[in-house]
Amino acid sequence: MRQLLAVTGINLRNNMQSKALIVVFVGIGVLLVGIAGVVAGAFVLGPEADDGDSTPAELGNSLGLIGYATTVVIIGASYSVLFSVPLTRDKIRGTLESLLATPTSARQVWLGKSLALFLPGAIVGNVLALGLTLVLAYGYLGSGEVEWNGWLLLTTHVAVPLVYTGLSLVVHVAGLLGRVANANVLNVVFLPGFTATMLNLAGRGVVDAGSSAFLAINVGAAAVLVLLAVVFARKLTKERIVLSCRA
Amino acid sequence: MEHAIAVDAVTKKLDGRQILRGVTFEVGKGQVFGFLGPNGAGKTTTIRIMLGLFAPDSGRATIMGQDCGTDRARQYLGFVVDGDGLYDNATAEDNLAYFARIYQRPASRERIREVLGLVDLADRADSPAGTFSKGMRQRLAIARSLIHDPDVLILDEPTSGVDPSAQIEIRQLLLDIARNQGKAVLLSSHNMDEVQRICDRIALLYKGEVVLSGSLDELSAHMGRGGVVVRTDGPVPQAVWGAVAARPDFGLAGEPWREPGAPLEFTPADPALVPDIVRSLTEAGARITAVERGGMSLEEMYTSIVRRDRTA
Repeated sequence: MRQLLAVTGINLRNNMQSKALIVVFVGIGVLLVGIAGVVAGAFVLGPEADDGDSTPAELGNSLGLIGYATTVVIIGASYSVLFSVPLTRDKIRGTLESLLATPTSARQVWLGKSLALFLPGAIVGNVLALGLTLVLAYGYLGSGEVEWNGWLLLTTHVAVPLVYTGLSLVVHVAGLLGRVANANVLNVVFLPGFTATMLNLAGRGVVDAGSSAFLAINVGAAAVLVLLAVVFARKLTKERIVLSCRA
Repeated sequence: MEHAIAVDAVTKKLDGRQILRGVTFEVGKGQVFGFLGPNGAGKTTTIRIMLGLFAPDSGRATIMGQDCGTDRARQYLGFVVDGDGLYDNATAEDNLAYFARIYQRPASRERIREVLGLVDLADRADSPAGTFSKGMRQRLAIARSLIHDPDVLILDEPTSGVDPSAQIEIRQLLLDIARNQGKAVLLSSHNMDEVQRICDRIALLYKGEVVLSGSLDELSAHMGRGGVVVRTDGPVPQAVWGAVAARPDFGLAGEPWREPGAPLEFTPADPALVPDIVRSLTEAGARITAVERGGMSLEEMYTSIVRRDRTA
């Protein structure tokens, strides 16, 4: 456990090595939150509040969905920014090989790197999304106008991080066993694919976003990703990882 | 005696290509062992097996009696791999502290400063590794390899790309580590002069096999020390060569008429035969300009083996 923490710590710092990457990541996050706030206020919450027909529960659902979408996009954006450059640098500069030559196992390296990718995005994504929804709820709509939906809060702040934990495990298995660029394709495809699917399911009323079913779908997606990662992680050996550094 | 490193008949195939073909050598405690070979000879693969990154297909490799690849073997092992493996944005102190934590050793500030002092970087403990010169980075990588006080050091070209003064410092450091701290040091290098200066023993790997192994003195003897080099004025006619080649006890090496200007090298069965060699050459018409005691530098041994193989 101490070794896993040490590996995670090293990789967290390594992922944040480039100030340019941090600036890009935080900049994208703040920009997304700003755009989401303006769009949500002008096109979703504003009209709903103005027509006077929306109940506090409906406003809560809309706000919850805005928070959900913001979290999904910000964590996804963090993966796009923080995954490929640090892992490629790790492979090229020998830091990965050095780590593998210590008494850490290939799986500890995999888990440590996966956590190090997941944590910054999850923290920033959750904090910004929570901040945005609170500002919209209490600053824009006014207190007492919103009835929060527990299922949606659980989906946003528990299930979405689980989904991204699964994704981090998958892309790291792929990136450690093969080319980082190929693994990054998973990231690039996942973000719009997952976001569009979930928002369409909720927006078109196929699934009520504020229901346990929506939570279950998200947890199910996380389970599929974790299962995939665990299956492929059986191939993880130090030899395969070192050989992948030549790719 | 238990060897610090023992590699016994190790074979390894990668991507369908046989990289190692029964590599065998040992390194004792307190020794600096030179591990030589041209690119593609299998040095890095052998080192990766010793570091536990690759598993051998057959044979056995041990560190302090523990099979390579086990955590116990890794605890005995410090290393510097190609590319130094340092985290640029972490300070020198943090780089060492991280690795101490991974080895589950107490990473006290005093211990870290002590190890940094060994490589003369104590005053740069708080500087990020990314601000260091190549030589300083290599020294920091060596310090990192020492943080858990290993018994064995494996260094893959630690002086590559380093300026001459830093090379001298690193060599001195390695000698100190071996002689005064009793650690075994395996040094992989392309720098023959460096290996000749500091190594007690060497192994020359070529096409996945150890083609030469032993102390430098043993190798020189094996490759012709104790012999005689005769220099002549102008090319050696084939007739002259024939005169001395007819005497197997003279121990003429090679076919010198094929290389105009090359000296004649002999390893006589008995040193007392040297006057007979000189007389035979003179009688055959050779114009001798010098007779020197033979002896091959490591570089000459290396190139002679590689060249012999290429012309075969």
